[in-house]
Amino acid sequence: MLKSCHCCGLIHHVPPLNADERAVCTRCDSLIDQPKNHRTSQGRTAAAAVAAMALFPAAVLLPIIEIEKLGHHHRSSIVGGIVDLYQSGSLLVATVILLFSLVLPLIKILALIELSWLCSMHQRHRAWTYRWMEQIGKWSMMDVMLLALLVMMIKLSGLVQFHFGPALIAFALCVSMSMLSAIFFDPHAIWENP
Amino acid sequence: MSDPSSNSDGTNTFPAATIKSISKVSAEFRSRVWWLTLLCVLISLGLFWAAYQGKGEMIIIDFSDSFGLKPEDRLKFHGVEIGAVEKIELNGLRDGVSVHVRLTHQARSMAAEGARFWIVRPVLSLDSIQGLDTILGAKYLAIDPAPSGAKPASRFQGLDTPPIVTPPEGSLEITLDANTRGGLENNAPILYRGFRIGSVVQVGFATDARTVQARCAIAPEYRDLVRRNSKFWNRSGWRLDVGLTGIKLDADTLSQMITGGIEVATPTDADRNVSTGHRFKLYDKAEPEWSNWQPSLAHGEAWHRIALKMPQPIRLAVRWQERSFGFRKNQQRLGWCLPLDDGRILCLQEQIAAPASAIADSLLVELAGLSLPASKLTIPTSVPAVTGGTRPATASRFSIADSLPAEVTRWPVGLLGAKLPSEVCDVFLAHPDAANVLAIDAARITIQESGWQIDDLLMIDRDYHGIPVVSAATSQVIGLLNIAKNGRFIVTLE
Repeated sequence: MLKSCHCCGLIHHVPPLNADERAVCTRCDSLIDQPKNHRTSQGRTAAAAVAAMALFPAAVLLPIIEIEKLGHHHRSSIVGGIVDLYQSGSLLVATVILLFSLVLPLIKILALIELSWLCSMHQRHRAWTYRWMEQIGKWSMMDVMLLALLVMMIKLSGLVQFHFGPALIAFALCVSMSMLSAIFFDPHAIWENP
Repeated sequence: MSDPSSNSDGTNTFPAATIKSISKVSAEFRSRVWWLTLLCVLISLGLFWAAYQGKGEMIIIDFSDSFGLKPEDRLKFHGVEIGAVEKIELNGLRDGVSVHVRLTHQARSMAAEGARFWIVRPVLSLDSIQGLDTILGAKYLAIDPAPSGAKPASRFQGLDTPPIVTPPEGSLEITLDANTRGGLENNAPILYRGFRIGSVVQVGFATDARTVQARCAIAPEYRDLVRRNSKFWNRSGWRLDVGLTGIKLDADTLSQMITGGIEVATPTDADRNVSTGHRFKLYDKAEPEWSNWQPSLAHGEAWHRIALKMPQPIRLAVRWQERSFGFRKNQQRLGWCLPLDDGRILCLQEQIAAPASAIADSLLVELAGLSLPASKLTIPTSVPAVTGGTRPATASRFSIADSLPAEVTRWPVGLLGAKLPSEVCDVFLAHPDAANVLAIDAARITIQESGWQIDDLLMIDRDYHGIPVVSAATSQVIGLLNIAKNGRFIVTLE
């Protein structure tokens, strides 16, 4: 069977492997194939993606931050923050955040679940989904928001008081789970039937 | 009987069952990561559960104006947050606003029938500045909780102004009658020697509108300063006297000019205490002699602590006869003695001894309705039988042959101070009538060789001769009062 290396793209001929063997690239020494690799990958991807999906509602609906400034309190969730931005007229910012922190991450998680677990689509269709997921994944920037929170906390800590809400835990876990899921995912599993 | 699995021509027509791997799906998805998934699901559910569990009950408070209150402002009690405003909307009649407040769980019982709510906002007046924290910061709701056991309610009518401060428990509430209001405001101070001892709770008409009534509350620790013959007068506003010598402006403090104030004075011969509900007349101005009154009134925490366990001295009279120009002449000396629970009686030595000039065996001691000749007294041998000379007065204990009546209270020997403390302290002169108990401040006492001397300027009636002296600090009897020609002394018990 011919397989290309994920890392450097060199095409190898991979002979059938025994259970205790693995194939590595002759040029860059990265892993090309492992027996049952696609099976374990599928299970892990599915588990991590489902975990991320379970945490997603808690991360966006529960209050994530509470700001106290001179006795004025303001508590907001991610969805609430987007609504606030929309109501205050910042239409563009609201749309950007809605798209890149809410909609695209959700699509990516759902796509991962579909590819690794549900298998409800035809093989060709799944390849199409995979291509799109690769493109969309670059724009799904949940992790950037964690960084933004950190920057805000450091820069504004003298002026206002911060209290993080319960959603922060869910949010951080959700980000890690969707990243783990993407790492576990092996695209070969789409085409290789066991 | 033929085999049911075979038909007549002997061929087997049953279909072969499809063989499937039992764990095909599960093998594909078997992964330890699913434990992580389970954990994440539990965390997610837990967070949602915690978020909705923490939400308390919602109450609605109606106000005529929101005074700048915003959602997420707090409901505070004694400065502690017990709830948050969730939303504010116009009420159905458009004559006010409805404030929806989410209470925390522990605050639920506070919001019952009778609870009062108001919006704390800055109030600036010449008298006082209130709600200073709300000038820059957020407004907040304050609550005066319902009495315990009240029926729970979820809709309240908010107050536009903070409620009238309810006087603390144990306050003395009195009513003053005045002809005119004279500038009196709610919360105006009641002053004793310029010191605030209470405040006006409410000023209003009498029911027949013939007078103005001021409901006043005297703080619990100062209630003993007000007696039946106390005088109250209005110190509101200011008085300007323009004369040949110049202009004289009479006003105590700026705040008194604004809100007014009531001064109270108690005569030197103070009457009994008053009880709540007593009425006094409020004079327009003070008589000149009122400012000269200087009663020594027991008051404050130390007095309250020991007021109920003061010693109860009884009257003691000693009579004797003297020969003067050939006539027998009756002499007597009056004073006090303190029966002790060991059967003996504590008094000044001179109260049970006659002077050297007395006719022998003419001594007679009277107490508690008993009249006892010297033979019936058992006096310690160390005490000289005669008085006089320059010897300092001493205390002594004697016992009597007859027993005292049962109703006489006896003072425990354990509560006698062996000697005077090394430092002067605040003391009470323990007159059996609580209204006549005199308080002597440590500042009025000096230590002398023969005991503690009390300032000569202090008015103490001669009637107090021999009365027990109680220490305010330890509530022990530490000495007896001796009123001598050269001053008033507290004599040690030794």
